Formats: sequence, C-alpha cells, structure tokens
Amino acid sequence: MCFEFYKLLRREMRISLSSFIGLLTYSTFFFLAILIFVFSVGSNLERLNDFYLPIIWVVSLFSLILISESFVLHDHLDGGLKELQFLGFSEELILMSKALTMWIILMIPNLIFFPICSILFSINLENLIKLILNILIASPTLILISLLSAFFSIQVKRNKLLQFVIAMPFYIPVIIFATSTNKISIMGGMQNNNFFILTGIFFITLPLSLLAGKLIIKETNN
Amino acid sequence: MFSLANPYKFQKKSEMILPLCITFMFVLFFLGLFFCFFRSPPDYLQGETVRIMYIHVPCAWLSLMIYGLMAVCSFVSIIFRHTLADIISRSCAPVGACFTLSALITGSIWGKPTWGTWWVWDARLTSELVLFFIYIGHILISNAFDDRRKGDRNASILTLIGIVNLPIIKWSVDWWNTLHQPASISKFSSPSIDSSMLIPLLIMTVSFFLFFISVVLLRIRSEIIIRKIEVFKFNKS
Repeated sequence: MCFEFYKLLRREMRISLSSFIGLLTYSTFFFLAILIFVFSVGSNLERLNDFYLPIIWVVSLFSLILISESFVLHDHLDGGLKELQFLGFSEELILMSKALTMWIILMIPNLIFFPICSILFSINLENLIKLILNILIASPTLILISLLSAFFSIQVKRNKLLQFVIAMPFYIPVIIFATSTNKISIMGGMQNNNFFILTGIFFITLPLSLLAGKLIIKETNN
Repeated sequence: MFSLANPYKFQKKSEMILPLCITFMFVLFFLGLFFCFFRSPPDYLQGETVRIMYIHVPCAWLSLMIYGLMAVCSFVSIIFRHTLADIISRSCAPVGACFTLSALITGSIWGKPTWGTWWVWDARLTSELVLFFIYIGHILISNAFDDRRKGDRNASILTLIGIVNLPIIKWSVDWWNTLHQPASISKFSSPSIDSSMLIPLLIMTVSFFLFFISVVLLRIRSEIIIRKIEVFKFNKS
C-alpha cells in the first residue's frame, strides 16, 4: 500500500509541477488579493496589524478553493481518475495523494509569502511563527474539504459557485479556532488549547474525508 | 416496515395517513395555541416574550431531527441504493431548511428583549446557522444535476459529511460558555421547566411534527409522480 501511495504521490507531483503556470497563478492571486485588502483597509500599519489574521485566512481559503478544482478536473476530463480506479488504486489513496500533493505544492510558496506579509502588516516574529504553525496545522483540514467540494463541483457543469456553497459551512469551525489561536496569543493567553482543537478537527475530518472521498470518486467515475 | 419501501405501497399508505396527520395537526395546533396564550403563565423574568419559546423550540428540535432523518435516509441510499430513501431525503431538505430558518428568526426576535441584541456569534447560534447552510448546500446539489439520481447520491454524501454538525449543535451550550441557555428538557434528568409551560411546548412540538410529516408526505408523493412522468417520457422517446 505504501508503494502504491508513493507511485500516486509521484504522479500527482509530476503533474502539478509540470504546470508551473498554475502555481504562478496561485501565488500571484494570493499576493494580489492581500494587496487588494491592504489598499481597501488603508495604509496605516497599526490598523493593518489588527486585520492581518482575517485577511490572510480569507485569502488562503479563497485561493485553496479556487485552485483545488485544477487538482481534480484534468483527471476527471481525461479519464485519469477512471484509469487509476481500473488499475486498482483505492479511492482513499487517490484522495490522500492529491491532498498531500496540494499541501506540499501550496504550502511551500506560502512559507515564502508569509514573511513578506509580515513586513506588509508589521507582524512581529513571534506572531509570524504562530501564524505559520497555525496555517500548517489547519491547512490539511481545509485542503481535504476543498478537494471534496471540488469533486462535487466538477460533476456539475452549470453552477461553479456550488463549490463555495458546499465548502464554506465546513470551513467555519476551522476559521473560528485558527483565527482565535493568534488572537489569544496576542493577548498573552494560552493558545495551546486551540492548537489541540485544530489538530482534533483534522483527525475528525481525515476519516470522514476518506469515507466521503471514496464515495464521491466512485460517483464521479460513474 | 420494508413493504413501505415500495413507492407504490408507500403512495397507498400515505393516502390514508395524510388526512389523519392534517386533522390531528390542526387540532393540536389550536389546542397548543390555547394553552400557550391562556393556560401558560408569563415568565417571572422575561414576561410575555417567553411565549416565543412555543414556536422557537419546536422549530429548533425539528431542524435537528429532520437532518438526522435525512442522514439515515442518505445512509440507506448509499448502502442499498434505494430510490425512496433518496426521495425522502430530497423532500425533507427544504422543510428542514425552513424550520432552521424559523428557529433562527424566532430566536433572534426572542434574543432582542432578553439579551438586548438580535444576534450574537454564540456557539449554538453559529452552529445552527451552519446547519442552515448545509441544508441549502443539500438543496442546491440535489438540483444541480440533470440526472436526479446523480444529484441525490451526491446530496447523500454531503448529508453524511454534515452530520458532524449535529453533536456540535446539541452540546455547544455545554462545551462553550454561551449566551444561549443550556437544555431545559433532558432525557436523563427531570426537566427544569414547569409543567404549565412544558405541556403547551410538547403539544406544539407534536403539532409541528405532524405538520412536517404532512408536508413531507405531500412532497414525497409529488416527487414520485414527477419521477413516474420522467420514466414515461423516457420510454416514449
């Protein structure tokens, strides 16, 4: 099973890295969306410092939703998903390989972007490290939700906003705890509890996503 | 029980049940209203505004119960691929969404005089709002496909994912410090609500439940007819 997963992961990484333009689009969108928020809130650094958490989280969420479809759409259109199933790869492994690839591919550019954001928002080093840790813990959950919603949406040709409607309600708990983690730490309180809750949410999401992923991939291929 | 899973037999049985449900619903509704307005005393703190409870609480209970029913139907649909389970789930979703919205609106109206605000981002209120959006997601996804069966199956998967929200709503008032009060009626302990308020509340709940059954039966019957017409059109073409 590990070897099968490795093969799938290698395949996904190759496909993702081959489309460099897609990654560049994601990074550019992320950066520009943050700039839009900066300009709309105003250039006052103190004020921006109050808003940096919601801005970064909202932009991360939107970019994850927008890019998630590209991780599954091509496989759906060119029959790759059916082929993988035919070759005997389990649906759970397919979903996991896609999720891990998405996490690696999207989080590495983010690790470069967050220090730049810290300058734009005047975030100190301690809060920056907490933000990065926070995003690293919460992003697997968000990626799994995005991927599932992408599998729903690729089957529907007419309504592309459907993916947002499906994914958003499930993002809410993650966003609540993820943003409050840094707020608590800014106020000098204990942030560990929220880190644990975020980890807990991930461990609830993981088996559920695997189950739902299996069903939805089968449904997509039907 | 399993004989009812045949759409034809279900139609026959529902023809018998529906008039009974509607009759009892109206009887209990007017009886409940009488108890709510004339037999139930005003609250010593909240005064007359407490009477919103007789609408708000049944709506909130039903919003959870309907989602639970939809989850069971989705489970049956995914395991046994049973069409009637899909039809029930599809028929319940808009009714559940209406009850959830009613619970939110009546809660908001009740919140203004008691909490001093229309809305707070409290764990119970937020999780109920999330439930409303999950209902909307279910309605949208089940209608997004040209093939109704595909829509139903996708909606079933979404319903099963969304079931995580039910325990959060139920125990949110115990897990977090919320402005919303904890449960007054529990299966495992004696209710902390006086019988003069409990009786009208239970009557209204049964009445709302019968309303739900009546509406869903009507929706299921029309859904079966729509599917029959589709099959007829398909065979004709």
